Amino acid sequence: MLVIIARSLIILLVLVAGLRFMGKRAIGEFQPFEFVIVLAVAELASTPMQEITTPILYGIVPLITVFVAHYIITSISSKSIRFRKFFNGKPMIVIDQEGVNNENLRKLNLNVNDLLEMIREQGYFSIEEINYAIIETNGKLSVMKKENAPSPQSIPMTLICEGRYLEDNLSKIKANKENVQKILNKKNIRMKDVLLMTADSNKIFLQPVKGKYMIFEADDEI
Amino acid sequence: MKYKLITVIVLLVLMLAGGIWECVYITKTFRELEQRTNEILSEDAIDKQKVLDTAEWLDKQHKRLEFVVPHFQLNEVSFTCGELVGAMRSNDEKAAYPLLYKLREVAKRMGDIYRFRYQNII
Repeated sequence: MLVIIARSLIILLVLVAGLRFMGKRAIGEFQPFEFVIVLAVAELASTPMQEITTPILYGIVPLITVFVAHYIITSISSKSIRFRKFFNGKPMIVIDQEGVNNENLRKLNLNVNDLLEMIREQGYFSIEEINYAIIETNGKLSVMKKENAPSPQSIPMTLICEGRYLEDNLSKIKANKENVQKILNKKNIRMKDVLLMTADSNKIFLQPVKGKYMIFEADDEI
Repeated sequence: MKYKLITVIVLLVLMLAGGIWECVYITKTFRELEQRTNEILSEDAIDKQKVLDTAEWLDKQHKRLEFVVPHFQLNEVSFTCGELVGAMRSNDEKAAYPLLYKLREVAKRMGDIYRFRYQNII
């Protein structure tokens, strides 16, 4: 038991020294490779703490190797933009002047629901309130608000998402599928070309897969 | 920032030097053990004194090897050696031979396990 205590304290000291060495970055700001390092370090540290038959060097050397590798990677990243792009990726615009950039969303392995969730977390309930939105290399969303954009009066309900009706939402607002189809026909858009369609108390937002979004008055259309 | 660079360089040098020393030391030690057991086996009869000398030598190496070789593997070598010494002290050559062969094989394989080679990396 005493041996385990001693080993645990030694490994803990090495961990603390190493993490201090890595620099002060909040967990939410880790780059992908730093996140990998933190996960690996947790695993590397636990085994030699408990396994007294394994030399403690088998725990300390991998930890030091990982911290040294982190230093080398960050040093090279700070000097080379190409290297930085390779290791960390680059920020990507997911909302622009035309609305949702579906191509970039796909590249990031995100879908429209993920994006809506992220913008709601930032306090925006409608795409039209946003001028630009960027997914940073650490996965966070940065938003440039559109000046003088009207906020929705009620929570916009998603009626169509990625070419499919959301039956629950349609029934919640007592919307009619035929009427929704009429709207699409009027705008000359096929169902499968609709990336996102939302409706609140007075507006309908329609984002096609390709092209700029459209906003029109709801009235009693749906 | 300079102190970080110096720290990294020092750590890298220490790790590389330590790694090379470990490789060389383990290979050398187990090769010597293999040589000693080969010497004993090459003779017509087992030389009791040589076996006891080998056991004493191995006991000394054990303390240093404990820093770099997992204990359960090292203990297997020591236990085999202990059994061998017991067999020799009771003049039981029949029991001693298999243990000597086992010790020779273990020495051969242990050296390989801890050497720097691609089979160990992959």
